[in-house]
Amino acid sequence: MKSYQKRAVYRARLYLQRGAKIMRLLFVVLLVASTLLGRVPSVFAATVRFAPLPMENKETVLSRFRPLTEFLAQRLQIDIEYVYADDYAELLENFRKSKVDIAYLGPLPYVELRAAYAEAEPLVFFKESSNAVTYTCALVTFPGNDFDVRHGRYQKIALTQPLSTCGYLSTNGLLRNSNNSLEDNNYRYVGTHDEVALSVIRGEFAAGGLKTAVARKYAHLGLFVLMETPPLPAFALIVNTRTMPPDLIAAIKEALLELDLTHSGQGQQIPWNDVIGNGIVEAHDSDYQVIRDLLGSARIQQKGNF
Amino acid sequence: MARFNGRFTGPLTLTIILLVLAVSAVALLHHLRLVKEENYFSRQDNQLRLAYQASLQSYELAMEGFYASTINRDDVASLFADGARFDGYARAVARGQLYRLLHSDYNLMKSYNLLQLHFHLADGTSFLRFHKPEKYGDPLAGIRPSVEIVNREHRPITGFEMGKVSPGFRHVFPISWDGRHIGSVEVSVTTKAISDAMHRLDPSKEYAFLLSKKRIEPFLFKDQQWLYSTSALDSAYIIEDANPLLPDSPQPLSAAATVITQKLANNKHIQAAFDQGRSLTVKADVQQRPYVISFLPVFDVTNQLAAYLVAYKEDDAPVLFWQEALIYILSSLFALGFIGFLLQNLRQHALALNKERGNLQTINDTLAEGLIVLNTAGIIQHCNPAACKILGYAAFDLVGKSLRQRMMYLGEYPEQGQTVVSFHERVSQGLTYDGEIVCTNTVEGEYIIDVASRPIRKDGEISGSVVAFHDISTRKKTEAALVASEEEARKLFAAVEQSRSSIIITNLQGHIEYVNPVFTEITGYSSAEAIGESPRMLKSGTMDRAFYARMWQTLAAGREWKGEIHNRRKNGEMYWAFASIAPVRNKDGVVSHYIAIKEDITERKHMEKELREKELIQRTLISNLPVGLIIIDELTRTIEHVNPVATAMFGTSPEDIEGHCCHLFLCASEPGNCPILDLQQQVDNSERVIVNKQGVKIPVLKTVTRISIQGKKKLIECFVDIRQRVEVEERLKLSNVQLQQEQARAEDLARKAETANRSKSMFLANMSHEIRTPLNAIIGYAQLLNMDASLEGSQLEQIQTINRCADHLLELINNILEISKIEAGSITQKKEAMAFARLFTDIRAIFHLSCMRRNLQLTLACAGIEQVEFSVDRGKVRQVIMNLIANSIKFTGQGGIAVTAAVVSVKAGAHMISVDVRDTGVGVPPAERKNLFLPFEQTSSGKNVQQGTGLGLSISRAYARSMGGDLQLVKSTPGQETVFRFTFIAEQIEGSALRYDGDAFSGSDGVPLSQRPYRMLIVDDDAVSSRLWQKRFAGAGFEVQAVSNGEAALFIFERFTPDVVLMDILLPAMDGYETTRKIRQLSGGERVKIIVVTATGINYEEIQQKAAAEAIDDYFCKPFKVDDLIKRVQQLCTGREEDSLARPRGEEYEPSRQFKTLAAQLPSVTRSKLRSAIEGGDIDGFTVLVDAEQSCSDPLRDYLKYLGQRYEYDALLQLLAVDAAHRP
Repeated sequence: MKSYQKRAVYRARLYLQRGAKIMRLLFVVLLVASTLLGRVPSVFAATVRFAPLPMENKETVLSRFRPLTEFLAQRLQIDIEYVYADDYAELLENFRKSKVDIAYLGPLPYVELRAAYAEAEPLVFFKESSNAVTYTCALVTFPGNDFDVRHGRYQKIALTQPLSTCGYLSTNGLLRNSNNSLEDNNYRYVGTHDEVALSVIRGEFAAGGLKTAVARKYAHLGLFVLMETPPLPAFALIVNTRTMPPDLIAAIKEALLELDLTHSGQGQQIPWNDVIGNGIVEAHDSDYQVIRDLLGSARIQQKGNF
Repeated sequence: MARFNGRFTGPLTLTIILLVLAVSAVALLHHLRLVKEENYFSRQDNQLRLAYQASLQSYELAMEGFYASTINRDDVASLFADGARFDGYARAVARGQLYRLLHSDYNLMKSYNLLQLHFHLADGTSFLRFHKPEKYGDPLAGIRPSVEIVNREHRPITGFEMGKVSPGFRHVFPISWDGRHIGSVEVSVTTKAISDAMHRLDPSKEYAFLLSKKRIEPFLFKDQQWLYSTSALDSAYIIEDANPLLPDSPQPLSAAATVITQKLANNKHIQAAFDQGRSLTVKADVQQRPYVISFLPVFDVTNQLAAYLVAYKEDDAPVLFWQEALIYILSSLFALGFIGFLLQNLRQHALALNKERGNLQTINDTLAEGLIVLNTAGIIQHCNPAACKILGYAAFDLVGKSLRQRMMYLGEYPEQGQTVVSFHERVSQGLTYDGEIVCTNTVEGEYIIDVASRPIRKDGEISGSVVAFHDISTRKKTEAALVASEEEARKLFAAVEQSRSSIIITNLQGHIEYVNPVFTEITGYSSAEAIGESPRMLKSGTMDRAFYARMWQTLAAGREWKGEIHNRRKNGEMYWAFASIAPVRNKDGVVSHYIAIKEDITERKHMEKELREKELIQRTLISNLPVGLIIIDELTRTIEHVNPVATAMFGTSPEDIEGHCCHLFLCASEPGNCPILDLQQQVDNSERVIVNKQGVKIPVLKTVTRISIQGKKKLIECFVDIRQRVEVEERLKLSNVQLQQEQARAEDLARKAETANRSKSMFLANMSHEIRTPLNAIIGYAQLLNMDASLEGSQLEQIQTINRCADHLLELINNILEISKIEAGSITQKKEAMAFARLFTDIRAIFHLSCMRRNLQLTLACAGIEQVEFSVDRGKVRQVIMNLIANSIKFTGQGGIAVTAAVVSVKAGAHMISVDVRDTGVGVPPAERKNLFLPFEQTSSGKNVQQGTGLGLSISRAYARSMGGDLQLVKSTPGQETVFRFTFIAEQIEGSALRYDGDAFSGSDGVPLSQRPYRMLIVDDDAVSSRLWQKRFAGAGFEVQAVSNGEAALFIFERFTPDVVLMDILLPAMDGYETTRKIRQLSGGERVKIIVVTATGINYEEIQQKAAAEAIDDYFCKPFKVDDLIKRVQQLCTGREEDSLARPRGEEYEPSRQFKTLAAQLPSVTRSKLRSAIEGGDIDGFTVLVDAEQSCSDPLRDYLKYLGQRYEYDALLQLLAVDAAHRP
């Protein structure tokens, strides 16, 4: 390794360590401030506010989550209101400000949220189409994009969002496995997994990091997976125990865990889909230890570097 | 006319004809309206079709253009051919490359509303959807006929078609490469795009597509199906994204269109049109607004009905058609009605004319009036039977004869003969004539007739005359006799009417036939009310029956009856009348009426009665008076009357007194010396003693005066027994003596109480002094301990507690002393010049930091009077305002305090000044307001904060009242507003202007405090000192940052932007001087205040030189009082003292340079006196001297008193040193 590379690596580590300290301090301050100053609603709202995934276009969001929300609304006789967010940061902020009662989150956003907001609690995991309670992230490219995962520098890389598990965290991890890193390349956040895939196909980026399942969706367009992470905890429903009464949380959990998915959309106007149709299992905070280990003292950049 | 009387002219027939005509007209007009509406709806159908086609054509052009310029290229076809030719990953890459190649063009295409771009392989398999890139490889055969046709026939196809994602209007082009057909590509616009285009063509309409359920639902992708919902209009149709669910969904149908859709559900006309696949336009009303709804069938490329395009438009044309038809119908009905009315009217007129003719003939024949019709020659043309009778001729003997012959005219009555020819001449000339004329005939001789003649005109020409007349001879004779009789009756009537007595005439049955006006005056009954009634209506009921029987007996005998009778008026009043009733006889001597003449004698009766009553009262009065009374004849001096009291007092009977000389009983004077009769006094008022017959002496008060009784002069003598009064007077004299003795004793007690009060004040003064002396030691040592930097936090807190308690005790003692002064009434006024601008500036400086520390806004305003000087007790005004502000700060958690001063009234040169102090604090509960101003009373809030003595408000109110004003709680709303109003009277100093050389007072807008606390940067490597300073300055309201070296100070300076830097000199690496120099070079470094802190042992001169060189604002040498450092920093921050470098601060107290300068300006004699008072421990005397010193400025006076109250003797002595001239 050349000297300037060592210096860069050293500097990156230093920044990551400092960043982690600042983040921890920030989280503690936010936690204390939100505990002391936050206005805690004393009565559960008649409408449950649900935050879907901010990583997909809104049409997809609606089509994916309507079976779930409609099922809960019918089963528990509650109203569910969608609270859209443009990105994870906004979603987590909404959650911390008690504007969201329940959210569909990937593992990294949950870990970040939990670190700053102890009232966030995982409820259930949604199984992937592989019937696993895990999923993987991938580094993808397109033929002719001239992406060198090992030696390439200053290559354009598309990422989803800072707080996306398949964003900076996993992509940088995959690059580091090849003795490369995001900081040695040019990366930018483009928002959604689909947009990462399509922007790579369009040649706007040499490579991109996204959920493997989404990358597979665009394989027919020539997108191919260069590398894939180990299994990560699946997406989960995260409840806000500050705004949700315990009995309602228990009722939701029970309804989802007891759901018999062998009968396609029983009583449902909308059939089960990839969100809910693959199965549901109980989730615990300890399931996320792998993410916490992966995150370690790493400092996730909130903005792209070009 | 005969037709009107016929059977076909009856009202029933006429009505039937008119009704038939009306019904026909209404039916015709209704039909016309329907035809018109149908034509209009047909036009709407055509308009919708044209708009749809125009929209499609515009898109067709765009699609063809896009195909020609973008798709139909070799590179595109080549890539597509690769994709079609290859398999597996090679196909995928070709697909991806095609996506990459056309993506930017597709984005451009979307901007033209061409929303779908879809490549298909030749076998009808989907190859690449740009609008759904993740969907591919699905077969389109059987679903997309257009794709099948294009790939079969290799020709472009255009038309509406369903799809797996969404329906739309498609243009499908074949693609070939190397002469070989390889597949097709379609460019589509969605129904939303078509609707948008149509809306742009006609913005007044809303559009919706109803899609045939059976033509689309089976083919949709599964994840697209939820977007479609069944139409409310017809369940065989569905609507795309009707809810709308997507964030970028089109605008949903308006509420009106939604309601219309629901109203038209299952409409049979629409259902029939849908079944037949034809267009239709219907109308509907929503909330009384008319709408026209058009349905246009949309056929797909195989000419199958695929959808209906629906257009909603608010359109009042059908309403206008209906209104137009209604107007026509009403007009027609009105015209028919009017014609019928005219016909009916004509018929009725004809019938009435015939009837009138018959009536006229009958009248003519039966008329008592003679009637003759003459021609212009005066020949009789017609006459009625009455004319024949009056003129004495048969009809045949009159008709054809001259009127002159048959009516022998003698002249006009009564001036017979004077106008002999006038009647016949006027008649023959066709002129009118009215009058009475005298004629004669051969049978009856002369007779008088009343005649009237009128000309008969025909076509404007006179064709004859008609003469009407009747015989009035008999009537004329009767009238003459009657006139003579009436004259005689009128005279008699006048006499009766003008009589002063009431006159009533009754008939034999007793009914009144006449009453004269006097009757009405007396009784109240009008003539109309009385006539016909019986005189019994006047009966009072007080006279017995025998009275009336006697009266009627007299009248029945034909005699006149006279007597007094008690009657009742109409209003119920009684009255007396003297009545004379006599029978009236006719010419035959038979009694026909009775006439009664009555005179009202009520007044006379009343007078008689009153006279009798007065006499009775006088007698009763004299007999029952509680005083003795006698009446003496002046001439004979004998007693004429004596009342029972006098008789009792004399102890004898009236008989023994009356008739005797008065001198024997009453008069103590010698005979011939009567004060009235002999000495000519008008009244004799004197106390006398009567010795009655039993020898008892009775003291009396006697009053004698003259009176006249029935023209004779008398003396009336009254005397009262005053034995009881004499006795009371004696007792009163005794009480007076006792009262004087009690008064003397009370005055003695008051003197003793005053002495005791003075003793209490003396005691309080002495005790307070005795308490103050040890307190001085407590405060002094506590301050010394407080300055000890080696103390730990808990020890420091204990020392500060001692300090606070001592302060509180001192305040309590001072206030008790003040209260004792007030109670002793020894408040004195010391008038001085006072200007509000200066006063408020000082107050602002005093409370500035307190408010800042509590984040409160302090505003002081004195609009209009800031430049005016008043003569008033300045110290008291200042103290009251400061008390109120201090209270407000104490009880206000957030918000602020506003002080407003204003002159509220001016009277005779004296100004009533009002100072309002309002805050947003906790306020005063209503239950505690009553005792708010009582000494030692504290509100519950005051008790909670455990501050104050409970004397401030009572002292302040006493001060205010001593200045002619008051202090009141005006209002208090907890948490919102509490207002105290302090008023006082002050005199304006004529011609004075504000002499003010201090900080500029901002005037009427008040002085807002900075919202941001002052920021202090502490640079010290000694952690203990640094922590101590941080704690103390933070406690004083500063925002503090601390660093331990110069580099850190430079790093943080621009980020923290401090207002003041506390700089240690001995720092590691970069010392304090260098750090200061570098700070001065930073942005904002030139304005920051820098105070250098040094350790002891440093050479002062060196520090002074360095400080001047490095632009250091001030410096302190350790150890020093932290309070002094805080004060100095506060002064630098607030700019209250701009003199920069003072001497180094050491252990001794160092007063500020400003006060030293002011103190040095005091006369040396004064300073000596003040020092003597301090050295003698006489703080009261010291305070009096300070108050009395005219040359002492207010700030210095406050400062000296403050030090005195704090027992800062050393500081005072230093400040007032005789040689204490200020040395710069």
